[in-house]
Amino acid sequence: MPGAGVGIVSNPGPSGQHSLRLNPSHAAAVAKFLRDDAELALDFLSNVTGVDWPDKEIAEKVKVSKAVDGVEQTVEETRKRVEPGCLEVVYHLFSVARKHGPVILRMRTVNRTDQVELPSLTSIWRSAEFQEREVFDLYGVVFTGHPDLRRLLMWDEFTDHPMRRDYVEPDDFEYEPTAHDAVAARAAAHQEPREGKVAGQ
Amino acid sequence: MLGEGILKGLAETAKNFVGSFFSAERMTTVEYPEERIAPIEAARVFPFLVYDGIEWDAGLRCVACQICEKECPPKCIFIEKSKDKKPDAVGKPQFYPTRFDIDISVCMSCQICVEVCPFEAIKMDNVFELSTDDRFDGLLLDRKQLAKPNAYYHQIHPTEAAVVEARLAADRAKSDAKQTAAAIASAIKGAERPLPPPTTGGD
Amino acid sequence: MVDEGLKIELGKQGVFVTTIEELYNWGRKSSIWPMQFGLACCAIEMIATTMARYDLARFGAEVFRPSPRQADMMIISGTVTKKMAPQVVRLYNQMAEPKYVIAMGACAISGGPFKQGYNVLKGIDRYIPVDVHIPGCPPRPEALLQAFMTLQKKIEAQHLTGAGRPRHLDAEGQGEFPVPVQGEHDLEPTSNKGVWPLPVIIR
Repeated sequence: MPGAGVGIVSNPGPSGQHSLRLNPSHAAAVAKFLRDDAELALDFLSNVTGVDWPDKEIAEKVKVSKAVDGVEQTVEETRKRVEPGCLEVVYHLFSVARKHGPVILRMRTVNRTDQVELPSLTSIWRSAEFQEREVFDLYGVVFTGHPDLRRLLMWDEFTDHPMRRDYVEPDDFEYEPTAHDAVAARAAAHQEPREGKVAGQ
Repeated sequence: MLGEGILKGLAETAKNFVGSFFSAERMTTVEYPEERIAPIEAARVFPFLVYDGIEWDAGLRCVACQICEKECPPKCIFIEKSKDKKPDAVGKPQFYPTRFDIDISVCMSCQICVEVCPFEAIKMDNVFELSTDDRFDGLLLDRKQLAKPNAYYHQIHPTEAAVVEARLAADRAKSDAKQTAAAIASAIKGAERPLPPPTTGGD
Repeated sequence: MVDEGLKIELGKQGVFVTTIEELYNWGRKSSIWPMQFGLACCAIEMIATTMARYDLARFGAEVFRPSPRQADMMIISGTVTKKMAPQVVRLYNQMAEPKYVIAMGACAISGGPFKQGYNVLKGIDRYIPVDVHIPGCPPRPEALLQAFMTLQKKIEAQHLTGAGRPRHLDAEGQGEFPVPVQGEHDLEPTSNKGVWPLPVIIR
């Protein structure tokens, strides 16, 4: 298919499952081809999941010519920049007719804050309907063209997206008798300090 | 014939119903609490701590290495390690847990704590009659409630306990052999030094 | 109160002596009808308890009523999610007094292995009063039968007058329990302070 924005994301892990990264504007056409082609016949969408790529702070070493004590010199300077993160949706496709798979597709949003739309593939694989609702609920990706996009696991009035990296659990840590690490830190607010210890130790 | 399946099913039920008055095996109900099904050896409910000997405090095998605490998936174990060391069953000074709490209202009986323990100190119990109306203190077991003797472990898991005993005995034999070898080596070294120089004829 | 020895003597003569409290409690404890309420895996064990091998009907739980209006007891079996919690409280409110709750399994007591999950309610006793807790993941059918017996003992020991009398004989007793509202980040309130007897935890 000429002009389709497709790239390959390789997976260095032991499973070796490399994925195809799709350009969101061409996704529907590529998906239709994958499903309808006689050789591939990828008719079974088994899983849709989301990934949250948070903003990354990158420290780069840049050679800059700066004036040091009145003399022009090339100095190495570390510049920090924030690479904006994004939300990604991963599709696992199998072929029941041809008995092969999986073929993995990925699509990334522009950023994590306001531009979080991606095309819905429900019109091509019906099983995407509930699974895209789950990704919308837990990650916040808005699927355009989805027939019924509302929350699936959490209730409708809920405002957060629990699977995002920056999700903070609400404060219901009143009874944690065997608390460790992060849970202990949250539970400390509800506990009395032992005699002789200052609160916070 | 129409309705043949239903009639077959009803015949089975009738056989069970009438037969239960005559033969014991047709009576499927095990009338708990008067009758109990014998627990199979691999049955597991909640963990318990094994102690050797008579005194639970002195013979506790646990050395508070905290591996089970880290590996527990729902993090229901809480251990506080002692500052001093106490001699264990073989006399070697080891740390011991001053606090070993298991929250059985969270425990999911996965047995991972048993699998990772390097000291055979924690094993799975099969006592399940633990229902209570006190969900805070009643379901948080401390080390005294968890400690049970090695004889009890042999009683509930005989084959497993036999394997563990064999392994512990082998380890003990190995360490004993190492100790005696080291003792002999140091004795020889101690005897070598103040040897007088050999007298040669005609000095 | 009649002396036990005298009761037995009179019984031998064919005279049956009892108190209203005994009869009332005997009637209450011997015919507890549970509600069909299973949430997750513990529900499978609950169904197994109603089947021939363990047979909950021997204890008086003859039928599981589908409607809360006709049921006496709610066995909360399975994980209570925050999305389901208001519905559980609503069903509990719809049951007529006297009503009892058994929290079956780790998830119903405290959230269990999923305690730190984003949608898991850490124990249904935050909103409704629970009479018996059964630890286990899942508890054996015999454990549910033992919990049933514990509940029966609890009912038998209840006095009908005085401070510890059951809620339906207490004019000031709490009738309807407030249903939590699903707020923007969590259920509001996170717990019902009047119902949940949270102890002070020392770190």
